[in-house]
Amino acid sequence: MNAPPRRFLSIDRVWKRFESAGRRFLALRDLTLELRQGEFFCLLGPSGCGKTTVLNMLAGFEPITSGEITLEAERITGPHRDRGVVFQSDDALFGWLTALENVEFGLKMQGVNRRDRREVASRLITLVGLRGHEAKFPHELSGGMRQRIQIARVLVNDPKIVLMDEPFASLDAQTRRMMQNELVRIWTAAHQTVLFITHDLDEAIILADRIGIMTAGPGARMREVIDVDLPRPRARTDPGFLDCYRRCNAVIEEEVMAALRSAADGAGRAA
Amino acid sequence: MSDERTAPPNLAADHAGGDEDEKVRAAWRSLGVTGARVRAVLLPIASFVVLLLVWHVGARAIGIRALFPTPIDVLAEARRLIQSGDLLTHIVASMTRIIAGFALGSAIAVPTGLLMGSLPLVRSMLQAYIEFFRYIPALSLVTLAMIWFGIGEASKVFLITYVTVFIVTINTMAGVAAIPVAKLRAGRSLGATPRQMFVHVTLPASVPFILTGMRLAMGAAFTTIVAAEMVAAQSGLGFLIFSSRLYMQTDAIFVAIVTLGLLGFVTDGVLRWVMSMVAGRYAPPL
Repeated sequence: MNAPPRRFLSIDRVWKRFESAGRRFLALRDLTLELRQGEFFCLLGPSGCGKTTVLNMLAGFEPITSGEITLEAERITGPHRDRGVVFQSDDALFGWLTALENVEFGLKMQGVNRRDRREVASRLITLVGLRGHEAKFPHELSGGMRQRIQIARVLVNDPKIVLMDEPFASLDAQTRRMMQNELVRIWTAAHQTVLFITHDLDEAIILADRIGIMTAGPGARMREVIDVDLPRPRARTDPGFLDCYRRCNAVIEEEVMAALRSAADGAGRAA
Repeated sequence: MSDERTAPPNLAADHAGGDEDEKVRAAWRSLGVTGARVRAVLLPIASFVVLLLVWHVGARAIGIRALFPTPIDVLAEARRLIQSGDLLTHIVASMTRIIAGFALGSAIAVPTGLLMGSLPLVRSMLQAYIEFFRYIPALSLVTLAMIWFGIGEASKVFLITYVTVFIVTINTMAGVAAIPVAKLRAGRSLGATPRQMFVHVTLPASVPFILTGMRLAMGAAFTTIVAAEMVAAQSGLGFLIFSSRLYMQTDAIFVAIVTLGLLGFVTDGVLRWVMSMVAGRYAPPL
């Protein structure tokens, strides 16, 4: 067999079935997706379609039922600092550590000495715009600032990929927009591969190189991957933005209709 | 009109007659007496004075010191016990046992609770014992403790350790169970090994529950020590209560009871203070 072209992150024919209390639920049916190194990929889909399940499997939090996920040709079997996760909920932060100590955490686990890790962490604190807040505890910071800590805390490990699970979903609209712009700036500076989960099409177009739209669950799969070929920073009023919005929206509308139809079918059968 | 809020104009009219009230209130304020302060300081003192008065009048009505001493009798007895040094001896005896048992019990319970909370294997091994023994009151073990450990310090320390272990273990387990999944996942994907997770995430995240458990255990330790000292001791506040009955020294019993209340109050205060010093950062107001 010839050596296949070097793949970065590959999700290959993955199925995911949940079983609890004798009930089975098929979350993903034969999902296939490839991510390129250095790209910003947004995974978009209606709620309950299994976006977070995909992320949890990539992070190594959830086992897959069948299929294969590999990162640089290595199978994913559990959590690893190569795959950093930014969570939606800020209770993922360590409330007993200061902002700086939270950011240092990954290096401390690696046994990096105090001075070196302080240096790296301070640099990232500056990158995410939290200079002057190093000594504050998470509960003393605003929601947006807490998400900045989460981002810095992941970048400190210099992971191969950053997985972000709707990290701005619980912020107010204005802070969310600011954080989106900030994320583009940080991503440009940090040269990371990002998988970003969202249900907000606006957000996806502002951020992504490519947008993957999933079908409605249960048994979700990739519906379509759309390239967003727009220069950054992007504005919601750019003609290109609107164009892209229309294209994605058409696909999403179809999925919504499909979901409604299958829900109606289900209800019809039940009745 | 009050200075904290501005009433709408139509309501302000209703307050026209309140000018006089306002002057009186301003006078009180200038003396440092405000509503908040009255509630916080003066009301508790007032209620305490009333209690003493009722007690005194009631005791005088009964008229038998050996049955129901007045506060003044109790105060006199307290002075006698303090001057002779007896009260201090008893306090030191009781507190030493409590602190020894409490420290030993916590030292056993915190690791046990953390392990039970984090490792299903350990949990299924120990859960049944915890559920069984937690319903056996320490008081029922007093005589056994005497048989096993004699009437020296060991039997009392054993009983305090016993009550502490179960209360702190169960609270520590609850603390581990209450750690948000995201926090555990974050720790692992940031590269913490299972051992590092235990030390750097599970333990610090459980601290608020552990401290709550320790406060509850301290309360239970007070209950237990008195009972244990009544049955098997030559010193301590429980012993003071029990031996005083022989000579109908009711006033000495009252002294011991009030001392217990004060000691508990002070101990809890000290415990909370130590906690806030040592672990303030582990219990953020979030």
